[in-house]
Amino acid sequence: MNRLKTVVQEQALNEDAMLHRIRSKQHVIHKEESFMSMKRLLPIGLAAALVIAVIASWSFFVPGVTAPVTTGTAAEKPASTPYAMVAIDINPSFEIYIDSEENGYAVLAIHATNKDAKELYEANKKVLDDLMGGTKEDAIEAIIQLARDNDFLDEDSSDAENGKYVLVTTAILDADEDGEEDEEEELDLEDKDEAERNQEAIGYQIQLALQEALAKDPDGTVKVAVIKATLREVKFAEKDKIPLGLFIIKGMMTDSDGDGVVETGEEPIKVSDFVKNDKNVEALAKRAIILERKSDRDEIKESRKAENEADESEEPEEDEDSGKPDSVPPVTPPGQAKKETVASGS
Amino acid sequence: MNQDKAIAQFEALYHQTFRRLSQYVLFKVGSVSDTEDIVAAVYADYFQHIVQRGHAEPTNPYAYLVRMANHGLGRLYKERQTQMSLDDEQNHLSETLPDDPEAISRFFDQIDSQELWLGIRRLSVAEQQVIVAHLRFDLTFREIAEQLGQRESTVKLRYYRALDRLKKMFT
Repeated sequence: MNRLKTVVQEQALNEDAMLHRIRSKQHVIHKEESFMSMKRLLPIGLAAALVIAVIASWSFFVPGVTAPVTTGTAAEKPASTPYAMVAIDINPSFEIYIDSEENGYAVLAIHATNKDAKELYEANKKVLDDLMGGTKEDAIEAIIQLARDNDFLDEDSSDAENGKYVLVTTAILDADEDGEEDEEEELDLEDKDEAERNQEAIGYQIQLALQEALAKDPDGTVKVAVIKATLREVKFAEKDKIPLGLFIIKGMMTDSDGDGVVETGEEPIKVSDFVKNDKNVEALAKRAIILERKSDRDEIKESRKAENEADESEEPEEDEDSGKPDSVPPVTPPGQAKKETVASGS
Repeated sequence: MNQDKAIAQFEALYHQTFRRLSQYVLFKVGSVSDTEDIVAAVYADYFQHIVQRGHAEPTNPYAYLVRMANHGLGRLYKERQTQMSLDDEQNHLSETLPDDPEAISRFFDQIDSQELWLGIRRLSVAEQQVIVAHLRFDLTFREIAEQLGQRESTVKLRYYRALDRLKKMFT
């Protein structure tokens, strides 16, 4: 069987994967329903349980990661140890903790990791809490949308010629599948391979979701850098109290003024400041997969104008994909600074 | 009904009907991701109905699933406020089929699987539809054409044109 066929058979309408997702999702729903019936039967017990849950959530501990910086709620408290983490750095910066593959990589907790994120979290608590138990893709899209709605992705907020960037960084937190306690360097080869495969899969699923989200981006000016982080980087970022994505780009910074000193400073650099330097952008493109949508608004306007003219002169039935984005943004693979763009409707 | 038994019953029905229902929805909506969303929602609802709420299995489960899928399709049409339509491939009938279709397939053997799938997702909805129908469900061009109410030559052209566009993404 050729690779094209294999890829389509594995990725399109995968029967087993969908069954797995359905069962995982139903498991979460079922747990929530059981919780609600307990509420009806034992209101006093529930009140006590909620108090305990709130207290416990304040002291929630992720192995290898410090306690969360968000205000804790019962909804944020993970039901089990997170398997992986997806960090989103725009500013604001958020961390999404997700469950294992067996549980459909469901969202266990969302933590705000800087001041702007905390304020955004407080103002949109309901929206973010509703993402618990759902998919990581929905959570990422919702956070980016929240940032956009709150003007963090406004053009004025990033005056860099290189555009507006969002960093999405994935890390496997619990690679030790066999349960034997071993450090990252000593992980069984089997564990390591499995973790790498899973990190690839998580990154890939996120890319697909982001590509579709970007295709719907009305401005088409946001770029997303998808980065893979190691557990070691997670630990160092934690130690330096820097959001993961910002910790990684800090390490990529280049000597901007040519004096032989890289001015990284004490504070984490903002993504918008980082991408102002072309060399930084090149360094980012070497490590990350850059997703973007064509930003040439004039050309988009021209395309729309041409489409409108075509619509007026043709029968509606002949417009095969009307109302649907028919292209998704291109991908720049790691190691290539190439930035292809595809216009909407091409 | 015992829950384990209900789960086993659900899974049996799922495997028995998945292919047929997926094809049904794919030919209605065209988009692979919309098809996945609708099919997953249908089975998730059915799982809740039968396994978690303990309702009896309908007399004709497949007809029940199709009704639920039609509800999903109705919602999708309403959201889009557009009619799923045929493409304008008829205008391109002057194009010719590739001399060596196998050479194109061989070309894709050199491409990374994930990049290849991302590329497929960048094709138009109609192109994705014919690729998935042909390669995922092993339907012949004639069978796809019958489902879409189009000519076999049109479907075949669309398929090879899609492969050509996909190839150009990697060259």
